[in-house]
Amino acid sequence: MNQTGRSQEEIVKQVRKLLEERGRKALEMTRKEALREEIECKEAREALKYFMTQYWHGLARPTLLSLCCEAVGGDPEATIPIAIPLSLISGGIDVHDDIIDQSETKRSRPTVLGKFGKDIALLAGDALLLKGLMLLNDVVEKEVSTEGAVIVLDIVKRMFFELGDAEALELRFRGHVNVAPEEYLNVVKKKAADVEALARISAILGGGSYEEIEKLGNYGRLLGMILTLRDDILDTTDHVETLHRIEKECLPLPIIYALQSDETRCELASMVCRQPLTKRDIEEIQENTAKSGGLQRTRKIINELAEEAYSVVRKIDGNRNLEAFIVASCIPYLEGEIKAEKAFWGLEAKKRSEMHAYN
Amino acid sequence: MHTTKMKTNEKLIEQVQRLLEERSRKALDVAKREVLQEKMECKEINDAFEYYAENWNDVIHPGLLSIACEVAGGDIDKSVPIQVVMLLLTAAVDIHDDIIDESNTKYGKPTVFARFGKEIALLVGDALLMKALVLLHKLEAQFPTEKMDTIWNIIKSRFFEMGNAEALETSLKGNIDVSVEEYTRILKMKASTSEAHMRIGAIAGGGEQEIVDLLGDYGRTLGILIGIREDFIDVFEPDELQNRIRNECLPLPILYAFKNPQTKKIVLNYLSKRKISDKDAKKIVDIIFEEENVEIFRKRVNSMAEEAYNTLSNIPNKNLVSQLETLIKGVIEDL
Repeated sequence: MNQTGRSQEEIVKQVRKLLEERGRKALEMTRKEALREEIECKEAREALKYFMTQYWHGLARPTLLSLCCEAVGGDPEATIPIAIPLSLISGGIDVHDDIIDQSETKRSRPTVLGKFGKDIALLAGDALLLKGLMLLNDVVEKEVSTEGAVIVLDIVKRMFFELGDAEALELRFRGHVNVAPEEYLNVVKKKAADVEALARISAILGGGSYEEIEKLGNYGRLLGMILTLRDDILDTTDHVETLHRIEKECLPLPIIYALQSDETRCELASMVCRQPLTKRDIEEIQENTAKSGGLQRTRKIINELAEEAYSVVRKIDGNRNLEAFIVASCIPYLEGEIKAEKAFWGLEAKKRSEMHAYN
Repeated sequence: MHTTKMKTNEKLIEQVQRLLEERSRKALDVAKREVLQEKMECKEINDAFEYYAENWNDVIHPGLLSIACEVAGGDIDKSVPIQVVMLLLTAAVDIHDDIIDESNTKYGKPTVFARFGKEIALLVGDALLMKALVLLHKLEAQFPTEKMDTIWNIIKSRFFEMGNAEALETSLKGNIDVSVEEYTRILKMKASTSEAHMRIGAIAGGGEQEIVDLLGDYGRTLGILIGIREDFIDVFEPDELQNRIRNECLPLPILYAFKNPQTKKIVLNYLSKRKISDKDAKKIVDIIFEEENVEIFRKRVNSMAEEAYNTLSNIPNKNLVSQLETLIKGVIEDL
């Protein structure tokens, strides 16, 4: 469909190379920066160390910053300083989100909450946020013009508030089987605020025109939505994650769609509300979701978002790598086979977590 | 200040309250407006912002900053924007602290945590932290670069110290064998925010390093004394005491009393009850305050206050010295 003439494997290889080349340096510097603070409490120190060195493999953020900057003709290296505070802030948000969602494990790995408990997770998240926001001020002071600094900080603030709003709105869906897909997609859109913010900021740093900044912002929003919905599909096909979504969070979009179907609604709703849920119950929920077209409809949405994202980036000159990012985010679902996930995201546990963008 | 069952000198408390209120009013009004202007789609978050703003009455922190600014020779009205930033920061820490301590009430009112739940409280705290630091950036134009850098550094170091104290306290939760020394150290670390307010106020007022350090030291001592006062108050409040046992460390007077193994045994009998009644609390109070070690502690508290008074002797404006002394007197008067 895009990147014509190239196989999925080639595109996957390209993106993996990009993540290493563009993201690794900033990731290592972020880790170093986070661990520089002297923390007396052993648990808090270990929690930060665990998060930064074992849990967090955020290559995607700095890579996206680098690519968007390059796409508007800027020097991709110039995004490294700002990638550090932005990654720290995202890390802080991530740790706090796990407290809100009560996620003790994610994709088979213990979260900071799961390993160190609520109190230490809260404080570790605060430390990352405080450090990130302080550092962001330093970086914008040094690297951005006075007006640019105000705009960048405003983007970060709006992103932060929008993400908070999304989290809070999502809380309302917890334990409900009658969530409207539109309402849920509104939350998904809000959750994409961080990817949009990264794209916008890097376009500003790269000296992009107003139109380019808007286009890249739009691209970021669409990419962010794709990534969230991709996680929703993963959550609907993984036993542990499906159970967690039903018990502790809001239902993923495929199940929300399945609950809209006249044929399966009653049966599925009663299954979802069962307590406790057995492994067989989860399998049945997953089967019913697939049967009623929940997965298919979600894939369709991802497909539409991807098409829109392609059409946006095609209007930008340096778009080749940005397109590859969309392909890499969508491959498993556009092909319609979860197994195809192995082609990109599931090569091996560690690799997958590294490729698992925005984790 | 709390309404307590301790014998309080109402007149002195009123005097302190008035002094701090006058110095905090403007900043509190601006801070409330700042919080209320953030409109989210989620009603619960908006309600939580409104609730916090309605009940927000932190007169201590902006009051301290204002006095420090004036002592350093500055115009207190010009310190309002930085007071607002510090109010927001302190509120963020406070709200998150309530989640950790599972504090359901504060100053007789339900906390954001109790009223809206852990999740909304966490998000509200995060939002205030973000808001504070964005507003702080906007002050870059008000202060020269060097001063601004110092202010950022003070905030970073002192708020990290506060977080460190919280983390250390968390690791001691439910531990009845915490030593006086261990817990005193945590109290000292927690006083870092009071020190930060005094230092920043002095810098905003254009004070030389000497006066910044002097006021910073005063702030640290005052912060410790406030922590001690709150610990004394908690001994008198059965609900608070119960919460301290479950979710925090035991108050310092009890830890001093525990230096006597016999007293420790008797008091633990009461503390281990599922519900501490008013009668039990009264018994605990009687036992604790008859303990010799607690009397020694009281004397130490008075010595700390004396030291703080002495550091103030270099300040030429005696009216301001008197205000700073009144704050200390207000904190220790009825201990």
